[in-house]
Amino acid sequence: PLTITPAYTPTSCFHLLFGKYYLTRSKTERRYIRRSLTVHLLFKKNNHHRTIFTMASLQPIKLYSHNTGPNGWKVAIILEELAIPYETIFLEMDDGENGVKGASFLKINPNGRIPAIVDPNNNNFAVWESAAILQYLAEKYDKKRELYPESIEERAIVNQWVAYQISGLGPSQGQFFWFSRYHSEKLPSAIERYKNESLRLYKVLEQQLAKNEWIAGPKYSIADIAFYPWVKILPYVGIDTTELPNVLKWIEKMATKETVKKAYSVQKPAQ
Amino acid sequence: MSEKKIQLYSLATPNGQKVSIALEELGLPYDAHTIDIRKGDQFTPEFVAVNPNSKIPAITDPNGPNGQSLNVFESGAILLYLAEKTGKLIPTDPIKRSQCIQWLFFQMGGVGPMFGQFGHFHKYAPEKIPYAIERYTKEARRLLGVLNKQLEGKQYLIGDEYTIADIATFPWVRCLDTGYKGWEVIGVAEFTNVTAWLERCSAKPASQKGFNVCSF
Repeated sequence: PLTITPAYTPTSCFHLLFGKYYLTRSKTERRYIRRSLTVHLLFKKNNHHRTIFTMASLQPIKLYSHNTGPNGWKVAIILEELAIPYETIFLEMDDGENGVKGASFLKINPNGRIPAIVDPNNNNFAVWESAAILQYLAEKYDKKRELYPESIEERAIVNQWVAYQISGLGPSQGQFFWFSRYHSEKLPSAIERYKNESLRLYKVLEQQLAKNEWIAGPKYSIADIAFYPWVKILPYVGIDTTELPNVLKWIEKMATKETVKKAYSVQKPAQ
Repeated sequence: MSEKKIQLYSLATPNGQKVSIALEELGLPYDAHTIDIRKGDQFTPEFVAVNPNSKIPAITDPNGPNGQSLNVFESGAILLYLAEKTGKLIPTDPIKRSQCIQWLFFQMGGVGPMFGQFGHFHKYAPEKIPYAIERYTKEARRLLGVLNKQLEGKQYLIGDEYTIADIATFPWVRCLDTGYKGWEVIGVAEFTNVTAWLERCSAKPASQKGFNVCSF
């Protein structure tokens, strides 16, 4: 991710002195500046110039999200991790002007669910489905391949855990919430069904985290990001956590990340 | 050329069929092992070593990195893995590729789980709960509507190219009939683009073969 080091390197000096000037130039002018001999020689040595200029000139990505819905926060986290500027538009769960099933949002995501992003740095390309967004952002902007590996095999491992979250944990916990909290009529067999399946899925996750530092193995990845917004609320949902010590430890580890704190800083407390 | 074949652990449910169909379509050699989830085969230590979640399908690819074998679980992850490895059934253009992946995840996060809940409450649940049946019937219809709109004027989900997004989705639509006997209840016939596309995908020889791998 883009960082400006405290030491006075040529890179940081350029940013301090000329950053604002550079960012307000047109696309052609910026290209000219980057290619000008002096600037090129200044940064050629440590190769940071490409990253800095690319990240510095990004237009904010539009993130369509919801205040309490877990899936949008996955995208906020990865945007923070990759230091990509973004602007969040919080939608309502209805079919009004500002609703997920309203006419304008359905043009962006025909499925009418959050999250979705629109990338102005790529001809306003729209991406929906949280896992597809995580992959898209990682592939396009994570140049160092820190969050999503390069090799097909390592990716398969990360993808299987992402898939487990989006097809297993999310839906089961989601239906559990619906039947236990939101639906007016209490239907015991439905509540039991989703509670049991959610607990089963958490126990599998517990086994994985007992053997691994992070969900997909020794490295932090989009798998951890995909799980976090759902697992973060585990201590509050009415599922017994006594047999899930490693899951609880992982929640703590994630919660202390600056990027995660930053992502959630715009969340309003739930009613 | 390696003699070692992919080992497939599966059953002819929609998720299992996805992977069998893909393997047939790609012409990859494989050995199929039936994991009968009605008998608890998915809980044996051997299978749990391949998939700790105890669900089918799962594969072991003996031709993994550094000559070691690689286990992959989750049908969507398997489809992506096979497509990336062969370069087939997934577009090369980055825009179309992202669209393919969006529809693939739409199936995994939406179509699969929600059609599955419909199946449970409509067919399998010992207690008939009208509210639950209605909830998942409505959502199934909504999802079919989304698919129907996407398929307007198209051969396949992202255009002219048959991809893993199609392969992931059509076995589930088919299952509403063959598995859950819910075709009329949901009113699938109204979604004419979907039914035409289902026929088109099902008619392929690889699909016909794939439907019956690891049969019940």
